[in-house]
Amino acid sequence: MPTRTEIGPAEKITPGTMHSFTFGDREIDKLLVANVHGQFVAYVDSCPHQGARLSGGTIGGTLLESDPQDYQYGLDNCVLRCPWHGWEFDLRTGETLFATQKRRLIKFKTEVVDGVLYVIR
Amino acid sequence: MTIAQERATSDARRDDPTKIRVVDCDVHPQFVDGLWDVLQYLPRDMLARIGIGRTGNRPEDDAANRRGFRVPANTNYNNIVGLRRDTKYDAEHVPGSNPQYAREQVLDEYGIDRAVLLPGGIQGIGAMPDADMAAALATGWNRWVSDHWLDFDDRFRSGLLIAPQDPALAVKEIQRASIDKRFCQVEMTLSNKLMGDRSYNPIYEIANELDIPIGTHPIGTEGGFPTAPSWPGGTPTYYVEWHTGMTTVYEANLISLVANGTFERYPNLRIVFVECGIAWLPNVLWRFDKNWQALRDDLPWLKKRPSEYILERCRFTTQPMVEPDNPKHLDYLFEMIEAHRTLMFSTDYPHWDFDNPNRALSVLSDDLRQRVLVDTAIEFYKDRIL
Repeated sequence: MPTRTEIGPAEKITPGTMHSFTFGDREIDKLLVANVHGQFVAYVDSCPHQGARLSGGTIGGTLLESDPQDYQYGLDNCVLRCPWHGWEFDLRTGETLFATQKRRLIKFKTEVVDGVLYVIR
Repeated sequence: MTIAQERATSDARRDDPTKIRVVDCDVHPQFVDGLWDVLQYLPRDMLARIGIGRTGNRPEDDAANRRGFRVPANTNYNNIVGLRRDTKYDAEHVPGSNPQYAREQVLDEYGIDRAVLLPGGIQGIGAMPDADMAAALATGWNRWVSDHWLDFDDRFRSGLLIAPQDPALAVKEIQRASIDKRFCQVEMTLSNKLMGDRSYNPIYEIANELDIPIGTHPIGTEGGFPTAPSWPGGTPTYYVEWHTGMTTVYEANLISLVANGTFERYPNLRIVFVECGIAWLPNVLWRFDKNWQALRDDLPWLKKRPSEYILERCRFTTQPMVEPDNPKHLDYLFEMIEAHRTLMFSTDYPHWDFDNPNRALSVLSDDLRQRVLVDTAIEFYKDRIL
């Protein structure tokens, strides 16, 4: 049965930032919560590659898929980059950006009630 | 159960060699204040050559000269991932530059009983035209790593850095520093000559005599300087292209060593190719053997198949572990390269392509894991790892 876990005042997680929260000893109890252009997202704080704490990485943009020697920067503040091997995740979906055999972060729903952010897990 | 958890439940006396559970063959301590960390160990005359400490110098001249001094490095390509961000112990410091933090993040976190420290930020000295300065920097690094890392935790061991341009100076440094058995291998950074070149024989001779293995490791200068190892075919355009193709440089160096009879001439010589990859090795073993069978008299000093020299005397480290889509292909690879005797574990902390041993080695069988994590390293490094 999913439960609502209180994170705290929503205004403390500003756009383009993320925070880590731990609610237990299991991997699934370690969360990262980010604000992607005003939308809150929450994922298990573990890279599906080798288990790095993603909250130690960066949020920013990236070079988008393009034609050879064509460069287009985009997805500003939407891309979470793993601090170990640089895997890029679209924070809106939790999916890796590389073209094939995508991997996905474990995602939780969020909701804001009276200015307080909750994760449903 | 993770490696660290296994260790925590067993007897952890580190000075009992049977209790060495994991050897990490590749950890890179980073400088706190750039090359100045090492320059402080140089003799006055060498510092004066680069404008530091001259009579009449204003302090800002020294500071400017300190900051301006460079060794050849990977300046052609930009890797925005670089060092692991989470190895910085605070916002002010370079990732991987604090031995206390490295101890927690590598040794304690993963239950590693021995970690071999190899140069970071200075291995480009092999591409310096000035052989004397290169040799002085090598000595400086050896002294620095001893004072700041080896003395910090007795689980650390180190490569003994040499600059190959002047083998006589390299031999002197090996003779000096190898007295400290915490230097468990000679770390031979490379110039623009393949390792089998006979001019390097004095280095192999002293290593053979002292029974100390030699290691080599990707540098960053490959293909970037005329004095550095050259790149096959041309110059790569992008960092990923360069990183992926770099194995070819070390493939060529391995073939050179065997072809020149280096292992035949020096019966104790053992060499580890650190972070040079493993998946290219079967082709070398098979192609070289086939060529030798047909053209044996081109290399009449080889008394056995080239593959036998490689499998007996050469070792390779696991990181970066290749990740084929079909895990069975990895099993086949391990069988082809006789991984039970050729493969040794490494993390490459704090670099971006660091391997987490709890994940990267999950592909190994239990028996092979034991060999890779510790047994092969103990046989290779002998008493210098104990």
